[in-house]
Amino acid sequence: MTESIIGKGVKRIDAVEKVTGSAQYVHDLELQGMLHARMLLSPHAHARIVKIDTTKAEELPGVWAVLTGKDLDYKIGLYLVDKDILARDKVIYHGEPVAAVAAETEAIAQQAVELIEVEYEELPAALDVREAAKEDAPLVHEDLAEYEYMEGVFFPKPGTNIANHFKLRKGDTESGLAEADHVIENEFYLPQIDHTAMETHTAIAQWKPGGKVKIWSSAQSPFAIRDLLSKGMHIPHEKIEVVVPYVGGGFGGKAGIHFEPLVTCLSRAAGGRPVKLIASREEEFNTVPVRQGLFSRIKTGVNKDGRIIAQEMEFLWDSGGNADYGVNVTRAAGFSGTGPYEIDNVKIDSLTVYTNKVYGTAYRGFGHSEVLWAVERQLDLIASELGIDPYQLRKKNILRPGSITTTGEKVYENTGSVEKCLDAVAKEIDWENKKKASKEVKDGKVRGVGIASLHKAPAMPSNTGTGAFLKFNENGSINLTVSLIDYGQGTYTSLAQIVAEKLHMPMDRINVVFETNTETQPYDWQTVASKGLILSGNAVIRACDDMIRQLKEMAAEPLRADIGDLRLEDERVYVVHHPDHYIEYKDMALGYTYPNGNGIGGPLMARGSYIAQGLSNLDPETGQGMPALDWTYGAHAVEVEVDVETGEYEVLKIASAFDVGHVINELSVMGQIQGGVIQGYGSSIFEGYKYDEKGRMLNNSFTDYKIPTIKDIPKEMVPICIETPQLDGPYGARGVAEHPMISLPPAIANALQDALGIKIHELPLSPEKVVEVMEEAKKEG
Amino acid sequence: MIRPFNYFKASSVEEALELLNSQQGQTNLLAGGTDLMADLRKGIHAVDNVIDIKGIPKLAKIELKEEGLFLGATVTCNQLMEDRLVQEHAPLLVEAAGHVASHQIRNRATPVGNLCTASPGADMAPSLLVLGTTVKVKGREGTRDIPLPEFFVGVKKNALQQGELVLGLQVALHPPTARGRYLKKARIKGPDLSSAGVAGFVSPDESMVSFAYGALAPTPRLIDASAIFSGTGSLEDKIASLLGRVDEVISPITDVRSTKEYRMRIARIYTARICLELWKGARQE
Repeated sequence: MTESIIGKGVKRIDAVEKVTGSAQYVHDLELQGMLHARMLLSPHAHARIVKIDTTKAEELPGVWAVLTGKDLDYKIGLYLVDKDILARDKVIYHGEPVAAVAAETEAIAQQAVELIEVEYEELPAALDVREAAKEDAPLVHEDLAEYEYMEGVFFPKPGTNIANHFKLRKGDTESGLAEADHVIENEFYLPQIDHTAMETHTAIAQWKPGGKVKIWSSAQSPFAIRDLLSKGMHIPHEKIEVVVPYVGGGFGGKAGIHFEPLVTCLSRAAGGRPVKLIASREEEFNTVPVRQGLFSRIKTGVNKDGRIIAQEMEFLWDSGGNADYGVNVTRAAGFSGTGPYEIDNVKIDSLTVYTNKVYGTAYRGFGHSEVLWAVERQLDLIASELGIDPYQLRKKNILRPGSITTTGEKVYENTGSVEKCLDAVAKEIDWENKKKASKEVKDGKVRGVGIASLHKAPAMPSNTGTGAFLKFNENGSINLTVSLIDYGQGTYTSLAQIVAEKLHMPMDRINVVFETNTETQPYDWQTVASKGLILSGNAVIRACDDMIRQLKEMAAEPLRADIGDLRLEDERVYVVHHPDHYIEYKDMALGYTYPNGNGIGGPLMARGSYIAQGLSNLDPETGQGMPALDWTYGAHAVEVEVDVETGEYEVLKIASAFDVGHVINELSVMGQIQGGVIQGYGSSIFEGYKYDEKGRMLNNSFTDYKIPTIKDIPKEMVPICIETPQLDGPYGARGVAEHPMISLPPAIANALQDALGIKIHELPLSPEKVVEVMEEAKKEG
Repeated sequence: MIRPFNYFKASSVEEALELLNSQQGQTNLLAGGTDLMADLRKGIHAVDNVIDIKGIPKLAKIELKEEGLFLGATVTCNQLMEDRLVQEHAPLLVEAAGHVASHQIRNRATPVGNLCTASPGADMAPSLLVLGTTVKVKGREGTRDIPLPEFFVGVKKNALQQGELVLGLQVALHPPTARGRYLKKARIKGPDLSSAGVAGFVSPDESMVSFAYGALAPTPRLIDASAIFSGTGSLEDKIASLLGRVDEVISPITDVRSTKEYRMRIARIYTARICLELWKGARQE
């Protein structure tokens, strides 16, 4: 037997194309006769559109189409269909597209946009999520009652700004809180942040004769685009073709549907000429959706020994002007809102609240970074009040085999181990010694350590499915096609390893097709939720099994062997007891040909499908049910060194452990962890949307929206993989794409608390914030 | 989106001045262009004519003259940082230039352009102020010298008259044992605008002591602290009296980058740290 390739750090199959710049992105695409689109954006957070005059724009030479909201009677959305293609009657956030132009050049389109005259009448805006949730708040969507949504899963409250109210009830919280030795209540907050993918959102559409549409998009989910465009614009699925070439990052921001309906409408209005829209970086901040802000309130009943017996949690999600995707973040982070802890009595109310800000969508972590910011800070505040070590407090409450989760799911040995993750990072950071050591270093610097754990399951419909196709090429190499998109995470390399392993082929003979086309490739729901490797991996295994069956069936006849006696090795099928008696794949790729010219079999192609198993919708009143394909557990431990005068601090080390089930590609998993940790680090320290008092965004570019550069990253990052196999995962693997950024902000804040004794409730943890909290603490004495 | 404009490339100062004074509409000079092009893209300026001065050989020079170190108007930040004369005679400028944006941008960005933009937070300003710098200006009527403190007249406003251009900077010469330091507060260590910048300088005999402040007032501010440090009191007392001056001279605001309170705090901390370093050699990183 040759050595297994599963778990090896195989180099990325797309590396050469990407580093040489030859990989083609939608940004690079130019089509014959293509027009360019620009948008007019709302200057107000909330205003009635009194009048739009597009006459001058239409008269400008080179302009082919000018559209406003009144031309587009469509609603678009995934879970709650609440989105206009262009603002209709009123604008609901600063940066919302109000009108769009398609013209010969981008410069003409921009000039035309500036010729559009709009008269607005400003309306009172809902800006603070707590205010917006109240009964008398200005309404963002007056017509909420009329919107379609996934019934039984989401619960909008027409007449208010509540787009969804997720409820979870386990046990009896009231008695639990009454019985507890201590009841500790705190509030936490974090602002909206941006995905900042390197490639901004870009789409091209061509409206073809006969009502067909072809779309090229920088997107995570070609089939979701096709489905949502079909439903929103009433175009049959088979008349829509979506192509996704290489994609320059997504982080959730390119899930669902974005500018595709707009460019489709522009192309139709321009007589079928293809229309391309590239979001500017400013539009990427102002117009394209973001990660929601979150206000949390947690009331915990805890006994003297640190055992948590009851917890009440309220989450107010700042969804911005639309909640088509945000409602599911609210649900998913709601059902896992306690973190990886076993609490017998839990009450969670998770509300999606419309505000007049740019709207929320999926973002790496899907709500878990946000709720765990509150949960993991709350634990350290409890630890400090009870005088218990934060690491031990966590160990006392974590989920273990036999525990029942908040939704009533039983934890098994193979669910994974929170404890191993916590222990691994505590050991790596030298927790016991560091906690005992003096905080003072020298020159006004003090050190501290912090720890936090995390969990997340894929948030997706209970019946999420995917497929994979395999076909041999003439020379016996093989092509794998899936519609899961590798937009930078490296999944295609891992899938290629699975093919290599199953079919006994070298990596360089496996070609994973990077350009995805909904016309020819198998279905995939969306590339989100850290489910790619699990679901597509299983589909690929099944496709390989199908191919193995076909190879053996074809080879059995010329080898004159029983199928049961055939084996695969080195790209050949051989007879187990006569290894020299074999047929190479290349001689069967297009069908086997006997020496006399007779052909059998025909070209080899195989398929595999997989659908999530055993998941259910949650009970509308109690949130009980089976929402999780798999739980990936993890933990971070952090050491910081703080300058007590300026509040500036250095993160000396971050140790991060995840129970990944089984490593498929060592390099990819390490890369995912480091990348996620750095993204989490940015969201911890630097990032956050800032608005003026009228709801206008103040930092809509990299000038004032800062993300970490190579100079800013932590001094040392130690990724650790724990491997408790997931029994239904491919080779035991679990997803770990989103997890590395979750719970890093509280781990850093907990380290700051350890170093300085300060209690931070709000992100980002800027040095300025550190000073502010230190000064407040001084005043309070 | 950048609107079309007329582009001229001058090959001599005379030609640039001629162009500057003969074109209709708004005319801007282009050296590095790292501010101008960004502003044009954002639509902050509407420009009819752009005169590129990068092709003028004498403006690209760094020269040691009797009256000072001359830095031409098109000398880039990276050119300055790599220049032996600057390293030897004004190492503080090398330190300050290293804080301007990123390496790639410093390939084009010029110290003179940094001053002409006259942003309150210009990274080159505090160091050039403490060293003593004269701006050499030429117009149709001839040349004139503007002391750097007088060059900044308001937020993004400089003292140039219509039709004038900057030939370069003349930086006062100091013995190699003079000591200087620039500390910049930014949100990240990568490219960022200053939210507070403090430069300090002391001559070898301590007869000349100066401090300057960026992003802490509408214009960069200079404090001549020679008198404060000439007395016989303790360093702590001198620092305290300098901080008293700092409080009077700076007037920071709260904006998207920082708060007034935090800027004030950083100005004081950095001032004290620079003093400790310059007098006691306690280097701050």
